[in-house]
Amino acid sequence: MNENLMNALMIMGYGMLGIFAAIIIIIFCVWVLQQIDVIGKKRAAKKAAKKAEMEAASADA
Amino acid sequence: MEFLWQGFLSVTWQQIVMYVVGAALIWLAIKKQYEPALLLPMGFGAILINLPGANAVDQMIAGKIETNGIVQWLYEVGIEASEALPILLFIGIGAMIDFEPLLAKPIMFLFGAAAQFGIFAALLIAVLCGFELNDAASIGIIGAADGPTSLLVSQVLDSNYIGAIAVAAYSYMALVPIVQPLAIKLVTTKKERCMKMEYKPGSVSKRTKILFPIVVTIIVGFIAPSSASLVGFLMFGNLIRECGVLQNLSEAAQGPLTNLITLLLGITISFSMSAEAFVRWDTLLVMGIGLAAFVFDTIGGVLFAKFLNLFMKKKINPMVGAAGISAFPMASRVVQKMAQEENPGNIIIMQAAGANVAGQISSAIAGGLIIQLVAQMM
Repeated sequence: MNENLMNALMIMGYGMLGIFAAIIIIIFCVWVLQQIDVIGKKRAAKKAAKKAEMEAASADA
Repeated sequence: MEFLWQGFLSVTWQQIVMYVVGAALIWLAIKKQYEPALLLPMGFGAILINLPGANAVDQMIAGKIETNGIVQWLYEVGIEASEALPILLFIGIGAMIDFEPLLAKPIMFLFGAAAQFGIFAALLIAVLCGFELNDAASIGIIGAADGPTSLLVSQVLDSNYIGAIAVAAYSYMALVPIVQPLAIKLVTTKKERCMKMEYKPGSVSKRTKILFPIVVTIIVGFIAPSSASLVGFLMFGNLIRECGVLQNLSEAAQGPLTNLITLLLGITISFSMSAEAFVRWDTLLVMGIGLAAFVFDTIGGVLFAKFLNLFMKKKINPMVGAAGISAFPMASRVVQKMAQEENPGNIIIMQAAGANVAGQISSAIAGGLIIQLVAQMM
């Protein structure tokens, strides 16, 4: 009984730790994916602005 | 002529109890509409397999001719051999889930993790009640609020209470609208329940939605390999949904596949509801501890939300923590309904849905971790 109780407490501790560890790594990966999206959007916006600038310059010429 | 009344004469009182249990499950399914897709087949199956000498399970006729029963065969092939039915069901569930609310607000993942507390609390209670570790862990997993995970864990750990665990897992999922409000009110004040939350839907790119299931499968595979099949099939279903080029398969997974497996799963589980395995005092204890697991899940999620509020600028309505259990979409609906009742016009459904789908992933991880940890200690 005592041994089972100790095992149950250990499962509780390691189990919750394991779940939180997995979830925190997943959150980190989602954050990285989101940052990649933000950088991608910024790059696309920059490209679009440059293209518009070049078009305006060629129209002026 | 003896063969005509042989069946009536050989019926035992335990089998009669199972007819009553079966009838009660059918009544709950039809009259109360509690998880009818599962409780009705389970109820009917409970009656069918407990008919004396019924060939739905393997029988020896007159001690001479051996017959193979269809329900027993379904159980041995679909659950015992590879847990195929619960795992395949996860493809359909994955195809149904939209992870966007969660990806837009990833902090909601934490509530999915916190709301698994009931699993471990119930495990502890079961050990204190004198159950063996494998049985206690299987009883605890009722707190995953996830039928397929409960079945898988209790099957892998070779529990003696698979029937009771299946009945508890599915019937308590249906009772979430009754159990959760009581548990939430126990640990929150009216002011906390009235709390409003701002929702700014951030845009989630298609690339993120496609990479998410692959990333989750790899991470879970490394941390809890015993969950890899459950989480992997859940994520596989989700990848089919999000990839945008397999619309037909996504629809097939959400509709026909899910319906077909659900249809077979209920009647297959009923094999574990034979009178000799089910009719004993322990079954009532299992059901009671299962109920406690749901209550502790809810309390764990709510208290964790309160704890986070100590550090956060933008406070979270603690009820969102309760939505971190796996019962989808019932838990998030319950939380929204309560928020609406306490403070008309208060909308927290998106945050609750985020926590709720996080619970789906977390409960599968918890199942795998329990299998690994118990196997190491047995």
